Amino acid sequence: MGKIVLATGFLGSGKTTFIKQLIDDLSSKDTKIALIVNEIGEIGIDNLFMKQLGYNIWELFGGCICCTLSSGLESTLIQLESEYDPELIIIEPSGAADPYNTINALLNHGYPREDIINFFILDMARFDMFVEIMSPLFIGSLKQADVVLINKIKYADEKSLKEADEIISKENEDSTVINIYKNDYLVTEVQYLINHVLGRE
Amino acid sequence: MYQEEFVPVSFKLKIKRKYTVNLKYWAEIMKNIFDLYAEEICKNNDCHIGHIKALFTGKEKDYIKLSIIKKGLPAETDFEGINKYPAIELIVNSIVSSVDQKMSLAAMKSACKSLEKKFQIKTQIIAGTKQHH
Ligand SMILES: Nc1nc2c(ncn2[C@@H]2O[C@H](COP(=O)(O)OP(=O)(O)OP(=O)(O)O)[C@@H](O)[C@H]2O)c(=O)[nH]1
Ligand SMILES: [Mg+2]
Repeated sequence: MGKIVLATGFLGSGKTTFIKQLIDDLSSKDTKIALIVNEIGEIGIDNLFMKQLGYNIWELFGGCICCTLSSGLESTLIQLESEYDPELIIIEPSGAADPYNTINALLNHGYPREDIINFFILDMARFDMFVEIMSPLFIGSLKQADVVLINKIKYADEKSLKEADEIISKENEDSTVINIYKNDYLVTEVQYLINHVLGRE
Repeated sequence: MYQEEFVPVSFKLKIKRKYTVNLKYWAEIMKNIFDLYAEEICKNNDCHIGHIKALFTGKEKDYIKLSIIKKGLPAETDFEGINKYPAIELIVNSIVSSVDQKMSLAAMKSACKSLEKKFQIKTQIIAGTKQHH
C-alpha cells in the first residue's frame, strides 16, 4: 500500500495549487504518484485542469468523499493499488467536507495513521469568515491537521495572523505550521515532511 | 458539512472576438467579466463566496484558470501557453451561498452584456452542462 497525502481546506483555499507544486516536485524525483480529486459540482474543473497539464487522475464523482462516497473512495483505492501500485496517493477532498470522515475512511481501509499526512491549508484571505461563521468546520479541520499550511498572507493583517497563531496552538499544538506561497517552488519544510512519510530521509 | 449552504452552479461560457488574441488578453477579459458577475450576485444579499472558478483549456497544455474567493477581492487568473485564440469556451463552477442557478445565469448575462462593446466580444451562456465520464 502507498502512503497518503491529504490536501484539505475550505473551497478555494489553494488545495489544487499546492498539489500541483507537490506533483511537480515529486515527479522530478521519480516518485510514482496517483491523484484522487473529489469536487462538488456537475463539472470537475480540477480534474480537467490536471488532465490538461498531463497528470494522471483517478476521479471520484457524484458526491463527496466525506459522506456519500467512502465506499467509492475505497473501491477507487483498491483499483489504484492493484492496477498502478503508487508509492504516494494524493487526495483532494471537497472543500466543504470535514476531513475527519475522509481520514476515517482511509483508516477503515487499512492505512495506518502514520502513513497518512494531512496538510490543512489555511486561507488567510478568509480567516474572519472561518472564525465567525464556519467555526465547526474550521476547528474540526484544524484538529485533524498534521501540518497547517498558511497561505494568502498578503491579504491578512498582523492581528489576524496573531489570532490564527493562537487558535492553532490552542486547538492543535502538535501540528507543524508552515507559510506557503503560490508561483514558488515547494518549500523545503514540506519536501522534508513528504520524504519522511515516504521513508526516504 | 456545509454542502447544503454551498450549492454549486455549473455552466459554460463562450466568448468570441473578431480578432485573435493571446491568453493574457483573454485572461483580462475573463477577469473583467467575472469581477462584474461577482459584484452582481453579491449585490443584494448577504452571500458568502465559496469559490467561483472558471477554466479554459486550449491547444497542447494551454490553460487559463480564474478564481474569486471573496466579495470585494478581484479575480485572480493564472495562465500558461503561447497560442492565440479567436474564441474561448469556459467551464464555470460557481459556489456561492444563497445564490441559485437562475440568479447566477442572470448575473452572468448582465455582466457579459455590459462588456460586449468595450472588449468587442460576443458571448453565449450554456446552462446545466453535465460532464461525461
Ligand atoms: N496569494 C496566494 N494565492 C493562492 C495561493 N494558493 C492558491 N492561491 C489562489 O487561490 C485560488 C484558488 O486556488 P485553488 O488551488 O484552485 O483552490 P482549491 O482549494 O483547490 O479550490 P476548490 O478545489 O475549488 O475547493 C486561486 O486563485 C489561486 O491562485 C497562495 O499560496 N497564495
Ligand atoms: Mg481544487
